Amino acid sequence: MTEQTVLRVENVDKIYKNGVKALSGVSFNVDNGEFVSVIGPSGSGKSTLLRCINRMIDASKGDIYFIGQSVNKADKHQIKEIRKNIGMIFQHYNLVYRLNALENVLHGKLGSYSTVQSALGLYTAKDVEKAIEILHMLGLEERVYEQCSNLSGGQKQRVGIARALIQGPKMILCDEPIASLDPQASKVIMEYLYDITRTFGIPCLVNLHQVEVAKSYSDRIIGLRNGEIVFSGKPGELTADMISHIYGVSSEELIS
Amino acid sequence: MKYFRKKRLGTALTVNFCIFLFIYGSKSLEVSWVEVFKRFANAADRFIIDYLPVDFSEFSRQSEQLINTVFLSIAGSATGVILGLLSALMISVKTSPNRFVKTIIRTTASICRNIPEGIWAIILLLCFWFGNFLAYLVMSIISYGFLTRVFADTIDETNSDAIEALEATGAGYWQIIIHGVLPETMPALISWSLYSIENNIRSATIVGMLAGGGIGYLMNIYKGFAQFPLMMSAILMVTILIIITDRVSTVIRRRIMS
Repeated sequence: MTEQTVLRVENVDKIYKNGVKALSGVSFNVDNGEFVSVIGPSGSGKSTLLRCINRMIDASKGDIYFIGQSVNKADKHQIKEIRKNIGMIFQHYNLVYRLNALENVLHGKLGSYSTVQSALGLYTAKDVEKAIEILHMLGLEERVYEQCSNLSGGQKQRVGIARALIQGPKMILCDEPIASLDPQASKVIMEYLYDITRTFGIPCLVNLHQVEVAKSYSDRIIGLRNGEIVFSGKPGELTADMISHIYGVSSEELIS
Repeated sequence: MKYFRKKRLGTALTVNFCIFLFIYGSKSLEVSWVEVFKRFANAADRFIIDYLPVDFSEFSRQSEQLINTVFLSIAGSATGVILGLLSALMISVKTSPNRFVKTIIRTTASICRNIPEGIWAIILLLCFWFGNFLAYLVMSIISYGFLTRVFADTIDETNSDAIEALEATGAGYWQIIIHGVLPETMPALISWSLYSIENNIRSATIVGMLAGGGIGYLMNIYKGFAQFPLMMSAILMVTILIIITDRVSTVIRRRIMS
């Protein structure tokens, strides 16, 4: 482990109450400024893995260290602190669609406000300015006060990214960020995520369905199959044979 | 065709069963339909003699009580909304903090809902005596029972995606409720609240008669003194009020939901 290591996952198992083993013996590190993709078929445990990192799901065994702090042993208050430092982006954007873009972005800051302050909408001018600045940066300057239900898929996802960014995260988790988007919007979103990692050095851990996308953006790819890591390496090392091993079918049967 | 013969047989059986129920019911209740038809003219006569011409001489007193009824209904609903929303949060699968609290509140709300307003008025009459307060209390109880149920259902049906996202940013329980759950469910919550006011106005007559307060109280007095033409004017006013609130609330609700 170096000082660069932001996330250390050690031997994590997850067994759901219904007996399904979603993860077994998963170990890996993520360093600062790294763009890491997790690929694997549906049900291979990608989403579970991501949610164990910010304790949306409790891991059954093993431990996860986020900037040296144990995630599994964290108490309620510590979990909140960990979550404040991890931005999360979702496949379905997970916005509050009846509120506008700005309000949704500011939701990223709720953890730093008391309930009363936030209930009264007493966000500091600094946070509001920052939210607007981030929306500008993501090309949404015309949509700041637009109700989110009126935005396109790509725009919704950019609001999702903005909500993660305003947290000032030490790491960003993305759960299938482009799975519900058309190819053009997907490219825009991937470019933004990539830029964020490059410009701010915030490491990104991204679950992806598209192997080719993973190959072109990642510094490192992790292949998950039945809850186990079966591949971990540079995109160049991901051969056709390895892809078919991960997905359990020959790579000709996959749309890349 | 076997299929259609089966279907015809089923229809015939259902129709016969309904006819049987009707005849059996009339017999056991000793309703003589022949008499009902024979005396229909008589009944209509009685109606005309007793109720007409409608007497509007107490119009100002009646409108005063009618306004009182509206306020009682709104106040009852408002109480129901506040307590019902808190209770709904405690019992919805999405937001319930604790199973024990959930069971207690669910049972309480269920009792409030399942005892009809008339019975509540009779039960509480012994504790609070006749008057506006009792009418308000009864309406609050039935609004609470009803709204807790529909609010909880509404919250159950909200998308948990936004809740998950807010949780992931480190937001607290009440922040998730205030910034995620409430905005998402607001149109439905407002719509149900209006519906509850409507409902209260509809049941205000019977509550007023049994508990005192509002136009129902006045109607009870008219009934006691056999002042049927005055009673008729009160009934007409209540009916108009109900139709108006029904229309207004339908329009507002449609606008909110769209």
